[in-house]
Amino acid sequence: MLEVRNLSVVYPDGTPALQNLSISLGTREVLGIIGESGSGKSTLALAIMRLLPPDANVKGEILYNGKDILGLSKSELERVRGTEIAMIFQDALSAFDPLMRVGPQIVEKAVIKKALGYEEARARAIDLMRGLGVTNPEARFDAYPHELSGGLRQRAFIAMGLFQKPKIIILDEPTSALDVITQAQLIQTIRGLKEVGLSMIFITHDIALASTICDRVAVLYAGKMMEYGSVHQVIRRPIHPYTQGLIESTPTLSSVRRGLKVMKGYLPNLKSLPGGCRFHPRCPYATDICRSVDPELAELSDGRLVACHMAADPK
Amino acid sequence: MANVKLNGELLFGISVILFFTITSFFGKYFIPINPSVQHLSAAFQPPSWSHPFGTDYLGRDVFARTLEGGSVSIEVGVAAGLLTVVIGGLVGIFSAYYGYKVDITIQRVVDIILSIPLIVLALVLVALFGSSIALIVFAIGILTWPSLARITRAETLSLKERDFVYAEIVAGASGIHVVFRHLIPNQAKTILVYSGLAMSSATLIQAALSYLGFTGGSVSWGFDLYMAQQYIFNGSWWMTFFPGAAITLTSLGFYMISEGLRKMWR
Amino acid sequence: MHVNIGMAKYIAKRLALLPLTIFSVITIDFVLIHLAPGGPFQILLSDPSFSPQEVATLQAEYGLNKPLLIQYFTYINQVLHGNFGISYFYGVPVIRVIMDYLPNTLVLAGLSILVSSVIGILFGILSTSLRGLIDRALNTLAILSYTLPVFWFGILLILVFSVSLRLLPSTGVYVSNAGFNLAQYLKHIIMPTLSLSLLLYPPVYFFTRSSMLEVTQANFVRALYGKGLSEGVVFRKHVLRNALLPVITVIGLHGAVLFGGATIVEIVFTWPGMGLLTYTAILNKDYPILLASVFFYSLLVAVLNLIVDIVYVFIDPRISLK
Repeated sequence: MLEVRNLSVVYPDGTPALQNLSISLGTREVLGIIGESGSGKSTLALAIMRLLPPDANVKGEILYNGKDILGLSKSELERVRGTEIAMIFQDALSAFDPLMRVGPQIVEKAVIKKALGYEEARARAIDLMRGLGVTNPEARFDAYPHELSGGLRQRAFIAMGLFQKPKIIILDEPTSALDVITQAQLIQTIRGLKEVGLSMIFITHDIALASTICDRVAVLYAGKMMEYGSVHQVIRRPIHPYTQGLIESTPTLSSVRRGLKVMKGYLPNLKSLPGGCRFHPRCPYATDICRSVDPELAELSDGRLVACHMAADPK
Repeated sequence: MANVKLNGELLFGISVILFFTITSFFGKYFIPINPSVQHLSAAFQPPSWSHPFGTDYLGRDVFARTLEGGSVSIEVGVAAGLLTVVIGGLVGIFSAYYGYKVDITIQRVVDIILSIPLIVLALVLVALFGSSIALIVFAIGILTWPSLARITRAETLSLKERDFVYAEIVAGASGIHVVFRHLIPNQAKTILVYSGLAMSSATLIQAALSYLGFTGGSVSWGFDLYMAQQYIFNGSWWMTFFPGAAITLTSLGFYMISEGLRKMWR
Repeated sequence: MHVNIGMAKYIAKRLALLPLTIFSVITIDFVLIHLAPGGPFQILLSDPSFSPQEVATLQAEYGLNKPLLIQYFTYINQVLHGNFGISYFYGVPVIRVIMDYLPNTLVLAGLSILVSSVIGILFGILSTSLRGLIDRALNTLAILSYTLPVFWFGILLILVFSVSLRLLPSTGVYVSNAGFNLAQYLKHIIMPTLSLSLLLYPPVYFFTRSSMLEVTQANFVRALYGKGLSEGVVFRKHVLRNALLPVITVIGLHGAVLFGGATIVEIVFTWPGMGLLTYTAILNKDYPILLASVFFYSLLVAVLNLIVDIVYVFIDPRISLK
């Protein structure tokens, strides 16, 4: 359905945000993009939607049903956005026009394109919100963004994304701004979407969260993909040292007793990456070749891709 | 002040102010024409070789008057600007530093002064107390300091939260010490940038006052414009144009210095 | 638009602040009267034809021989009843003179706010949409307008339109005494309005420009494009509204500048408003009018701020007053 081929993004100030990234998304599939800040995960999402600043340097191909998104005309792009591919990001408050009520914004595109009359659209939006777990959707429809709580706002944002019945929905840290309980509720809702048949790209820094929803995951570090495979492969039996580190440093209730195992070192500055493998300063297995040669993604016998010189084949 | 990089604005501003300062205060030593000599028979002459800017209603040379008429404007501009900056800066800083009742009272005063149009109050003060240069400087300074006070107050409030200042206060340093050693130096750049703006406005207000007849006793561009307006239907546009352009340039000069400083320290 | 009980409370609260400002101005006025060299006796004693008995009678009449504190409270009481005394020059109650001149200032101010807002906002939008050379040009123009003496601009306008082109009248309001003529009134008000607008439009321009730049960078604009809306829709329906909303506050902030500028413009064009009245009062040493004038200016600025605050609360849904 969606295929990203060799995507590279360099921002106008010279920061290389993404390097040679390739992923694919099939129908009814949830792909997780896992990474910390600076990993390029949000850049990927924005690139797919072509929402990067116009002077950013974007190379590669993003194929949606065969057609390259990066080559679409303005009107074709307007059609794809929202109707075919939708995006939800982290901060729902800053996603809405603060001066307009939430409801009209949810149905905005459909009404403008005259796909629906306003009354019909309103009814549909209310149903959609109810389905997403919004209580009293009639009243919420007429509320202003700042009048809704974080969780409700996020659901409204999701409703706005789903309203056009897109085929793919990209969720960029949809739960990060919420408290744990609301987060859990929202994840339930998102899981429900999966059942309805939507394809999703789920972007998060929380690897544990990703494991509960995703079918396949890609782990990004400083703009490059480190590991790419199914959830079972990557999370149950991580091969890349970074993935291992992420999993080990995830706080769980049991680790409260054992103590948190934190990766040494810090995230690198994208403008001055270390030579060789960009992860080597923090890697417990780093050797000379790691310090001098940047590893390519290689396919292992179980089908996953790993970019590491020290990757031991699971077989 | 580590890097002093000249930019276009700064250069322009300084040149203009320097130019008018030299011509107004020292012009009598090197400008061949006397600005006060009257030739009634040669009044209302359009610009020519002998009188590059023409002559006014008393036959005086407008060129000389324009170049040398800036003394009051520049004097008042600089003096009032400095007064504004000193009062506004100190009041704002102290108000924020001592806080509570002091702050609230001063805030009220600021609000009240800001709600009366400058010109009106300046006119009233000048009418009541006479129009000497000292009073004009005082009047303008008194009326324009509140704007800066607001700015320095806000800055000080945020600086107060910063560790190094807080540490000093806790260690028992006296108010004066904290203000002069820390609060002022940290805001020096903002204050200096603002001083250019203050001088720019002061020049304009002084021009307006002298247009209305309150010149402080010397040749002034504003008053020349007043007389020019009296004879406006004569068609002697040069009487109007040159003094006004001079005021604009001077005011612009101060403004550009302010902009230049701002850009330099960005 | 949305109204609720909180709105009424907010309005009431803002209105309550008004007296404080008014009292302060009255006090300032009072201080000024008594600080002037010669004090309130000045005008009386300066006319040598008054005999000492007449002076004494007048002193008693104006209550100038009572203790200061009593004079203060009498003064406050008078002002609150609209009694500002009798004009030295016109010989009629000050309040009547003021009421004759005030409306003209209000019209001038109102029109200027309108014109300068339109120009400022338009230029601001052009600057952010077209960028590049146009942005720099408009920016420079605004700075120039800001540093140009407003009275010089007025005189230049007269030079062009009254002297050279003989199109517009250069002074006053009426040409004949044949009663009110709208066309004449408008002809006379054009140049004063243009002059005053020159003074006021730069702040509006600068603020609109920065507000628009800020809004176009905002997150929700990205979300709007993400929905697949066209640039035109995003701009007209969302960006403009969000960017222009706070511009109204600029008008409030410049209330003092507005009325100060109006004073000068009125004097240049002999427009019969508060400014001209104040000026002639100074020339005539008509202190009652002068002091009432200061009071009214302050009142005007305060009322303007009040209106701006209230309007803003009405149109910005984010401000909830519980």
